[in-house]
Amino acid sequence: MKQNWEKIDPLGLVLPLVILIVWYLTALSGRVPDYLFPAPVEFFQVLLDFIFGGAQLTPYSGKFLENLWVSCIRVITGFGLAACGGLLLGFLSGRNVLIRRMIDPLIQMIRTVPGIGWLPLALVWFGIGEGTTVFLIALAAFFPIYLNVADGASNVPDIYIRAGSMLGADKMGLFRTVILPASFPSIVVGLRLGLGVSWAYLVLGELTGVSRGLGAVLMDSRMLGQVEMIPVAMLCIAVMGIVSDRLLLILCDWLYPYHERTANGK
Amino acid sequence: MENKTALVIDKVDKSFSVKTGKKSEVGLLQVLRAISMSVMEGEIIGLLGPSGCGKSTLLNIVAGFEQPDKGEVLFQGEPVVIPAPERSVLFQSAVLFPWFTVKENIVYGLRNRRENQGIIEKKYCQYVQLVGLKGFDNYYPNQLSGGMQQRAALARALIMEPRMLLMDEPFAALDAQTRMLMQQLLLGISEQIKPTILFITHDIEEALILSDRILVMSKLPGKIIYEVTVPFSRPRDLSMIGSYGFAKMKDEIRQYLFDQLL
Ligand SMILES: Nc1ncnc2c1ncn2[C@@H]1O[C@H](COP(=O)(O)OP(=O)(O)OP(=O)(O)O)[C@@H](O)[C@H]1O
Ligand SMILES: [Mg+2]
Repeated sequence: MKQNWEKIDPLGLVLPLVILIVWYLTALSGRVPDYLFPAPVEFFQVLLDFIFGGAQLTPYSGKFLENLWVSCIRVITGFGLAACGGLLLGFLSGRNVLIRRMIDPLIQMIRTVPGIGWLPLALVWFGIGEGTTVFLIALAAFFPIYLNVADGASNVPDIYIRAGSMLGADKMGLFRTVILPASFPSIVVGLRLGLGVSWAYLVLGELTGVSRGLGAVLMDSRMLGQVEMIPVAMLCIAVMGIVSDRLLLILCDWLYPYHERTANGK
Repeated sequence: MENKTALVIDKVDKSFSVKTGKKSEVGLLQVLRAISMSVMEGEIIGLLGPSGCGKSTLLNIVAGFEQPDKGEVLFQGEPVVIPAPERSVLFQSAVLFPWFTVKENIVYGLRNRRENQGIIEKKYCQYVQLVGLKGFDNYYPNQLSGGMQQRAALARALIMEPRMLLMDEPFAALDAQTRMLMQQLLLGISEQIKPTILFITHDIEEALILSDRILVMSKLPGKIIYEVTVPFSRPRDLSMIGSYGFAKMKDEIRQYLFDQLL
């Protein structure tokens, strides 16, 4: 888990570079008109202008931070709700057979409805904007978190529980010192998947016509004829997905420095 | 210490429901039948028997991990219902918590008991010395050899000052040399602390070296079919292995065990 966020494999950079060169050459040849896809130079100018402002190349000049902020709040709220629900229900269902038999079938049933399928109902319930976006994120991110936490919690080897209770740990103690650390790798997997899904559903929610947020920038630039803003916004969302994943991993490492031991240990 | 009964097992029956081959057919497998024994305080009991005869099941019942169907288990006069540090278990593998260091593992039980830090440090020093693991405080279990892991597990159990140790083939997974070292260590410790021990093993020699009394169980459903008091005086050391009396007892027990294999 650790290695892949500290090292960058140079081989992985080859293809992106090739694409960049091809892109540059195609733009030079003049075969792709600007209104279909911007040339690299223009792309980077717009990107820099979007982030730092000053050049007024688009109506979004210098608006990166405020849109990012709005989007981040939505992701954090939605993902936070999903994490709370997923962890709570995941642990309950993973450790208690009665609760699992009660809630798991229902959750599995709801899960079969694709997240996008909830959009119309969400619009009816929450209206366009904040509520719908947060609801969609929370709903979509809940399932991978719940599933992985429940799986991790139910697969804690019995012998560790026996060892813990034989050494005088009570229910809370067992949870804190055995169940939580033993299922931590699964928890991290669930949270990462959930966070990834969160960004996807953020865009879906913001496409419905909110005025601010990276997804709104993405959608509105088409209507405003600012085609060069579309790939810029896409890139920003992709980068935010990666950055937030790294931040989550760092947070997990900080919370639980020994979770890697659990994965390799035994 | 003399003549006080530590553990009484009274006519314990235990069955497991098992899936028998086809689909959802469930059969009842009787594992223990009318097992009775009593163990004196400070006594070391070696329990031998063919594989699958219910030795671990019996030990798990005494530990409080499982409940008997019939009969009862009394420890210090009280019925056993749940696991407790006064009846510490050593498993076949060390079962150290891989997410804790050696030190965190060893003091785990004291932390559960909310001992103050001074006492924890003092006892830790004492017991880590006893099992010869000084200087490995911050190692993680997967950085230790099998023998060292088992010694850490022993320290983790002993630090709780249990009134009884339950050992389920704790040295079986170790190589012959390490096993001898562990036996020697356990002999030394039993001289110092004189704990009551119920000890499962497949190794007749090991049973003779360590036990005051040896019980042999039958194949399923397990009953106790043979009992013998080991006459060698204490303190013991491994030199007794060469003696004539040792060889003779070993042969006798082997005969009883062998009969169960047929
Ligand atoms: N939880 C369980 N469910 C069903 N059957 C079980 C269970 N635990 C043990 N058994 C059965 O009970 C019998 C006795 O098992 P046990 O582990 O007590 O044997 P053992 O004497 O310790 O064997 P070994 O020397 O190989 O460790 C075996 O036939 C086993 O299949
Ligand atoms: Mg066994």
